Amino acid sequence: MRNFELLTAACACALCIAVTPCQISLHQTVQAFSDVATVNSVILQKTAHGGAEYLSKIVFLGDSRTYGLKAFAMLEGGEDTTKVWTPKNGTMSIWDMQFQKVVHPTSGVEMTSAEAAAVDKPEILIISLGFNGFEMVGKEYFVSEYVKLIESIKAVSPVTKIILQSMFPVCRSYTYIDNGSIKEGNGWIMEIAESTGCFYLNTAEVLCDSDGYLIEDYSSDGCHLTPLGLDVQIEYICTHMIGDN
Amino acid sequence: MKKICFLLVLCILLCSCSSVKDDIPVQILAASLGEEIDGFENMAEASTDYIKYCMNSDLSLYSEYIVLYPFAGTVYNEFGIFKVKDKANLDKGIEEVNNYLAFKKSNWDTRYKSEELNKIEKAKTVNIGRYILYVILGSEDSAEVIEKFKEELK
Repeated sequence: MRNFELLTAACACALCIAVTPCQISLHQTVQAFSDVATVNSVILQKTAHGGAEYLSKIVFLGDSRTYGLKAFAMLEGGEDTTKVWTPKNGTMSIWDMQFQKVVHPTSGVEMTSAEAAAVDKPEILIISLGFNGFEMVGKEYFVSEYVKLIESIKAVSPVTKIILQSMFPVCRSYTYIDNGSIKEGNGWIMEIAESTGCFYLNTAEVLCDSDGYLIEDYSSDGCHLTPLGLDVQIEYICTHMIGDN
Repeated sequence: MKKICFLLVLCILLCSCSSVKDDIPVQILAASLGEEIDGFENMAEASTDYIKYCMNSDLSLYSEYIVLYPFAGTVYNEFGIFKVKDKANLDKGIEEVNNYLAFKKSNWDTRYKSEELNKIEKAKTVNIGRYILYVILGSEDSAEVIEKFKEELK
């Protein structure tokens, strides 16, 4: 609860001082939900609701936790949406991510994320990766693999604005991974966003209960989001837009 | 004298019987073994970083190495071949591979289908000459790959 209150206070403070709601100064420190998250220029801040127009600009690249957006028909096009890039096996691990293949929705062909980006050149790409394997590898390797993926995409689609989404927490009932590790991993992702010129979206903060666990109603297995949880995710995305800059 | 000659010939014969090929590049070997694997077309070479960081391999032990795992498709298959520079490094190499398999097993991604879990539980390590092979494959593929490995190095 403490964190939620701090977040609320931070948001209120931000509104009071009339900060432009996209990004704030690199050196300005505001306590966000996560204890490790020091707000800086890459963290997307609360904005007005972007609605369907903003959502339609976004392509989602991720693992099984992203696949729900397609499986539960949460986006334009329903189950046939062209906005979700996930591997055929439904999961993507941290290692060698740039070489792992996703199913390109329009063609149905398996290709690397960079190849898909070269074809579609999405305006905004939200990357939600790292959950599969982050706890098995050290920071150095994690960062290195993430950066390779980002650079491979940027090289072929420099117009694409890339948002790195925080890994979602897990429910109390999910015992394979602990939220402390996820929080640490999210710190790495935020640093990657800074070093690569991407944005960081701290969606995790809105999916947590007061103890930092994924809210049980948002997941059926303690890990993957239900339509209810996905709705909350989408709402957060649309209210934390990238600015025009 | 006859006895000595007989023993000499016997020694040569025994030595030749136990000798194995030592000059097959691991890439060639892997391509051959891959013919026995369903879905080999979805497998590709793991990066050196993967072998170094995820497998915790001391790459200085090996003159050649290759690890293949899936970059596409829906099933998990993996195998790797390491060729030690010196036979004195064999134990260390095998230990590294077995440690990796133990690590992989204890950290198996529970989101894979249950039949895939069986592959890591029955993972095998085989050593012939300076080569070390490990397989994370279905039972049938595993047996065929190991058999092919032995044949190739005869």
